Amino acid sequence: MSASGRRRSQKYHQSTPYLFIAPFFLLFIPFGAGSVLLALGMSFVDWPLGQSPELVGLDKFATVLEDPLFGRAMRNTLYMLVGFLLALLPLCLLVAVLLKQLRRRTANVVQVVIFAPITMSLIAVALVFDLLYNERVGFVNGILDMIGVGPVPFLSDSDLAPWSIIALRIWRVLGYYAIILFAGLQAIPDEFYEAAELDGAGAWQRFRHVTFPLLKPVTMFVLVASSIAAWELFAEVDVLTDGGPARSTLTAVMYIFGASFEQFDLGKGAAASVVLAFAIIVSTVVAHRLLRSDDRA
Amino acid sequence: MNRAWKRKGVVSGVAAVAAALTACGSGNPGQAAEEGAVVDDLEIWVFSSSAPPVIKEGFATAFPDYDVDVVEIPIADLSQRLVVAMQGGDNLPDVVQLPLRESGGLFATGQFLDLTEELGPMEDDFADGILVGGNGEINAFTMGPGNMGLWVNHAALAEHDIEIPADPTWNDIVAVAEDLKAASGGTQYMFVQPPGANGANMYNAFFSSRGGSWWNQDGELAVDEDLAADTLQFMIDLDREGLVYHGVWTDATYWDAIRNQEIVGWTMNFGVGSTSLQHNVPEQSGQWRLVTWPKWSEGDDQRTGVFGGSLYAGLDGADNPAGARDFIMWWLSPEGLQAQADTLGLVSYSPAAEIIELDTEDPYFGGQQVVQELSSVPYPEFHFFHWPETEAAITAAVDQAYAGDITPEEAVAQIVEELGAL
Repeated sequence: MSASGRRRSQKYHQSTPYLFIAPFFLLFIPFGAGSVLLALGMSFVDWPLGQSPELVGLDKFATVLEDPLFGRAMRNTLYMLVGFLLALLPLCLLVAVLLKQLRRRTANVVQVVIFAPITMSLIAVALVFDLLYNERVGFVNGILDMIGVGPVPFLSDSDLAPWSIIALRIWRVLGYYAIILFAGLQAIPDEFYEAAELDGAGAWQRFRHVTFPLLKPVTMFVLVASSIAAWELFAEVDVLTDGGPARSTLTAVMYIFGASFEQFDLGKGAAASVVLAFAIIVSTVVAHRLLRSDDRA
Repeated sequence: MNRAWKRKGVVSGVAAVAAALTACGSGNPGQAAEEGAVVDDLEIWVFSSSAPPVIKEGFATAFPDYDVDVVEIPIADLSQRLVVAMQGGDNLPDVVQLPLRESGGLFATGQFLDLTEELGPMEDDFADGILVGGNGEINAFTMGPGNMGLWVNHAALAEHDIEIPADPTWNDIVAVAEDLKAASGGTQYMFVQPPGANGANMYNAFFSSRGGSWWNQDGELAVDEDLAADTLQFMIDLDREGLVYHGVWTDATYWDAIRNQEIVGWTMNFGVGSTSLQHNVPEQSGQWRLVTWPKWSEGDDQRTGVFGGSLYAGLDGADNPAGARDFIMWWLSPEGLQAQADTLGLVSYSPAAEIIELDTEDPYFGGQQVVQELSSVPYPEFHFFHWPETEAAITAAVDQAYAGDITPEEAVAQIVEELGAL
């Protein structure tokens, strides 16, 4: 090959990756990054409906941060996020480990079954859970009634309602994240387990010293992806409880929606969005650090 | 004159004629179209599924000089679409149908057509609180006002030899509910308490029927806290005594509870109380009766509670304000009034009774003149200012009071404190 041909080939190889990722950025720049920048800009203005925006500096942030309702919404969201993650991660790991014990054909069938909930419309799922949780005719209360418990006010008790939402979310995403962890598990070479076994490691020790450390990058992805989704909790709550009872399930995104489209204060809604985005970034960094520091230890 | 200038001349001439005919259009309904001249676009956003056919058949026929485009938008999406359109400043509809409860905040923006000139002289023809607006303007009149009534399965009560006394007070109704509880072993109910915002609005209906309001006509906080607490106490007592069915008419199970005669009485407006009842439980035709909103005590004036309603408002910055005015005022013409009666039941314009027939007997309610009776009870003056925040504050406090976490007095103080901070 001539020198110019080599240069062309080199250029082609260098530019190919950029061509592959270009479609993503063509959409992300206007609709992703553009929206983020627009929201950031809107958070510094007062923009009454139908009128021109007026720069107000940090006023909207002050309004949001001083609003006890926003504090309540953020606390509720964090509470449901922590409860969700604490229940989801061990369950996902358990399901992934159990999947690994199954024969390949059985595992394939089980994967299809447990993956199905994530493909269902969230609104439809929420409506079904609304019926399941119903105090009078709900299936769950029917079962509880048979064992002499209940009726349990799953959605009308302010202590239970957040956990009822968490249960729905876990049911919906458990299979999805478990399959991701299962894929991570399959990537761990069997030799590590054999070596550990030869060293006399039991099942728990193999999990603790082989599976868990080698699964950390995948666990990190699951943790970050599920926690971002948990921060953005909206549709299930909107359908099931509308933020109640007594605002026990009012979430940050519901607050943003209310400020923007019910109170018509887009600046306030945008400022709350920026604060929420900051919280998501902080929680992601914290999760990353926690797993990494554990690595070093 | 070269060809380009000739073309410009012809285009300008046509434009001038078009402009002149457009200006005449709204003054003479029908005339322009008959002459085969200009047709103006008129875009109307509605959330009610019963509205488009009425608008197309009624209004579009009366005003053929408008090319009417009715866009049906689900109620949950309407305010988002409107906010985006208003903020963008283009693609605004000429007219939008709004739930009364959401209108206060929107009218306060000053972006709606001022109809004071048209509706102001007719003020005496509407009950207090029916004409609504912001910034001292009248922007709309409430249609299908949410006059509350007590809907009772008369036949189900008769099975227990229970009857509602004539001209009852709420104490009489509570006594009936207690008798029903005893006779049915606690399986049948005369009262319904929905969760969440609907529950807050139900409480609000009882409160407004006693003359209570959260805001005055100038948008200032004006709450009779004792009255608000006393009303909430009444509702909590009903719950404590086991006289309340907990559920909401949007639940799939709600209509089964009516079908099974678990719910044999409930307080509701015409739209859900009559229309939905007839639609969902046709087999109970003849069993139900309307009891007009009971008084609080013997000497009181009878006054209904308010549970919403809807309205049409024109957008100031839209393309066809003349068309918007024509459209809104058409609803007060004989054809428009009939359309209101056909789709919404209640008509808020008092001369309507002399113009169209409102005293029709409804066989579903045993031949009762339901519309007439429901409208006969005076409407409360009530102002839906800051309603999303007000409704949220009431909902949270009512939830806590029902759970026994706070007293009714504390609940009302909490609401007032929250609203005071707005």
